[in-house]
Amino acid sequence: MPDKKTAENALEPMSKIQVKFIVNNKDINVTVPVTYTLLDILRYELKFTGTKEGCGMGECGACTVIMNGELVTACLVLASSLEGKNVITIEGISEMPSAKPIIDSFVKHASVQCGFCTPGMVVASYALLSKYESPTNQQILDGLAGNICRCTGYTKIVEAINEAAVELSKNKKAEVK
Amino acid sequence: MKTTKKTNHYSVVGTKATRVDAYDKATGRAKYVDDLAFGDMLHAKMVYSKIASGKIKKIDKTKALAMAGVISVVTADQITGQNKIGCVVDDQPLLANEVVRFIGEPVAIVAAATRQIAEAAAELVEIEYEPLEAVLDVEESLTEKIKVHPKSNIVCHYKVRKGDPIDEAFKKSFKTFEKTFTINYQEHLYLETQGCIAVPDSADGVTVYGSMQCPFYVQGAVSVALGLPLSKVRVIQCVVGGGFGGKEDVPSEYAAKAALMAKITGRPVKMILDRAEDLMISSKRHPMKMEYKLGITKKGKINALKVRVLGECGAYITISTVVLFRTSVHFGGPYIIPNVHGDVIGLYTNKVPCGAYRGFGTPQVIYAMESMINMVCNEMGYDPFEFRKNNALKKGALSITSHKIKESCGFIETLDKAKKESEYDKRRKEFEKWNNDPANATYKGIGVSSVMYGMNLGAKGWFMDKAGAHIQIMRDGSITLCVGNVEMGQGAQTILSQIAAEALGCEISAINFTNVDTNIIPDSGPTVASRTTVMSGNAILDAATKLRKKLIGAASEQLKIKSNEVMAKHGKFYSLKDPNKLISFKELVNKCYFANIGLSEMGYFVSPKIDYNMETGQGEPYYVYSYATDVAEVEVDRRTAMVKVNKMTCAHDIGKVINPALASAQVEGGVAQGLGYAIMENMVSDKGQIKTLGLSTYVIPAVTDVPEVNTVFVEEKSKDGPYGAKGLGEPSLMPVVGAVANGIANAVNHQFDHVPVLPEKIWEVLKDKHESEAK
Repeated sequence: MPDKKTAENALEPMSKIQVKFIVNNKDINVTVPVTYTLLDILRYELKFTGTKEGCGMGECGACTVIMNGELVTACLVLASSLEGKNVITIEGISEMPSAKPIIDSFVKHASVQCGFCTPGMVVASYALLSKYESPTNQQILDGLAGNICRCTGYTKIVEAINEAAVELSKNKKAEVK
Repeated sequence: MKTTKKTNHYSVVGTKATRVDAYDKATGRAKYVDDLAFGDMLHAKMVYSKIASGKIKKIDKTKALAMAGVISVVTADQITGQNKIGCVVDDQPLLANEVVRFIGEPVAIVAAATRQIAEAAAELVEIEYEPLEAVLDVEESLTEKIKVHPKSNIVCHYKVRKGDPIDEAFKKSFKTFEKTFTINYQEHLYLETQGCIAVPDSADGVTVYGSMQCPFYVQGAVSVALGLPLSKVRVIQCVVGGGFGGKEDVPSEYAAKAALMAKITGRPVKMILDRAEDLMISSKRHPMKMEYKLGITKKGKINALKVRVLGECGAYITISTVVLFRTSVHFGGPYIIPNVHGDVIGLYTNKVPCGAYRGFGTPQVIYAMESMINMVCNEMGYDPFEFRKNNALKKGALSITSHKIKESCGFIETLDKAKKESEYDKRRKEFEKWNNDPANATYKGIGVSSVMYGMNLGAKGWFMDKAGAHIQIMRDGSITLCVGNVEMGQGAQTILSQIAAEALGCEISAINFTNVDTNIIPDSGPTVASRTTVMSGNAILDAATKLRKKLIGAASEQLKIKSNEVMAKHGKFYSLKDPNKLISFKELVNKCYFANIGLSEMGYFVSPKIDYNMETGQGEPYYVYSYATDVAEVEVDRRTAMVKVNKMTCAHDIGKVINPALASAQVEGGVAQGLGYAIMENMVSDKGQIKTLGLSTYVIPAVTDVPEVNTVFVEEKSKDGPYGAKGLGEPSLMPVVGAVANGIANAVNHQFDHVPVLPEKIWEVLKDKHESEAK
């Protein structure tokens, strides 16, 4: 909860900021309050509501997106640090043919329950499988350690990633042939 | 995942059907309440009491109202209906008017153009209090020196009296065991915080969209707060980001506030709690103090049990009276005990209200009871499985409430399966050897816990135990299905689609599930008590049976065969004698359309009647029970005392398993939540102020914390369940705490009397152990 000072500041017209960056390969140019985070911009300005807010404190991973190739929690990225950045959200990932095996595997393995952590999980899984073709169990655990799920107990999420890794490497081999 | 009976006679029920909601959720397309927006929508925030107890002297809205972008600040005096929100007892105001009773109690609501402005303005509402002394502890509450509410601090007192006077019974025991246990809060921590949107209708009604388990509770609460007839309050459930009981009665509080603000401003109002607010004010699992005394005969039979439980309800009852009823029915576990004397007392304190949480007042006492049994086995030298089997509830026997178990009791089979699947004897020996080797860095242990759990709402809520379903088959063969219970992640829409598809003879893909809408479906009670598969499943069967009769009649006419010769499966209606004689579901439905055969039906189901005496705590509290036995393998670091749960074996009797993949998923999730409760989740409260207001201080299991889970099912069918099903949602969590606690006891040779079992407590024991070994 903000103190009175930030409250008053939030109302001054000067406290807006213009940012130009890229989301899912599209150029974005928005003017938003300086207090806005990447998560606020995605959800409330750009209507990319697939990225969820679970805690707003960088602790749950529900708002995980990829920024300049790295996983970030969008709720901790301030608008002022976005200039020129390249952001990929769940909406972008779900359009990518290379992510289809991951999503299909989540669906097939019942890795989804309430689904609120799932977009963040899929983004983290995509980043993980982009880094390692056949991740070890430890690499999977490390890759998902920042994403909290309260429903599934994670077992079926790890199963889904393992199968997606196999599918993805099959696809790659097919491409080489 | 293994099931005992391998044959499945059904075409859709019993298969690993794909979750119908998974794709939308995995791609981010599923719409949760905060993903919705309406034109001209305002954002609301609550103003909370900062003191645990006191009188409100003055509320000054001036500064808040002066802020640009603030539209309205609403206090109790502006409530158009009644200022009450109590779900079962009328003790809680929608907005505090004269007194505040806990830190976080809402006093005012602020609405503004943006969430940020509303948050800031809420801080500017000035409330002047006259602080009063607060009641912060159940023992203190019991003295009644300070009263939280005018009448009494005692919220409820449930008694169970069975057999001889208990002191006489203990005289006949060969050995008696006594121990007092305490257990902390647990927070649901659904990933999606509480939230709703209220939209005013043109005809002075209101439509509420929200994250909730009980749309009909929300409808009732909004109707009372606004003074509107129920028919003018429409509640539409959004995709729900987890509930676990936390979205049973609590969403009514926020929906009624948002609706009030919507009515006053004439604009749509969104109210979404942030995580810290949600942790501070939403209801929790009851902390309890549990005094147990157990008497054992020479033959290893439990002959007497005396229990006294003090449950902390917090400042308002919410649904504590129903939660603690369950405590009183289940504190003795799934055992035959001839003499029982139990008192379960709920008490007010000036702290956050406690309420519904998966297992509903039962995991606490199961932990205590199963710890007692572990102590008995260790001291008297019994094998934990043999002892439990020797005392196990079975068909024809009486439960602690003298409920004669007539059907569907697979408890002993869960014990056998759990023992076999966990390789208990072998592992226990291995661990003993491991623990005796000083070179090892850890101690290993294995623990057992069992549970029985009453299905549906039981004697305390039978009047609400009904459910409706609506099925409409469109003329192209696609189907809309709507029920009154909520999909909150547990898989209800998939399970219920399977039941509908089985009964209608269509493919699951033909079914389009509609979220609960109170304008479509009659009051179906809450989505709680592991009741959805049974209640909505049976309501669907009622509707589907009517439709199936019409479809079979039409098929018999089309195929020119007798109606008892018609089979329906996987979207085809065909002749039993000649399967080539067939008509597709789609074509058949189209014929019905042109023949003016209506294919829209409402189904309804009422829970079986039961008979229970609230004075003696004797009778049938529930119509049937699920049973489970869990085995936990744990490892304790000898230097840091950190605990790792390596493996859980979970054997569940849930009647017919409708979807084995989703059932095992439910168990895995329950295991994670249960182990968090057992060893990690430590809510810290200081003078009524919760200090753990984020996930870095209230730590729940991450992927690195969870064990391997081996789930086994026992399918003791229930005659009143759809296809013989019972419930699983809560039993999946309930035995976990006891099994983990007993595993730790086995590893370090000490039965802990408090949950969560934190490393610092284990360390004290290890330190003594190491010191004595050094001597």
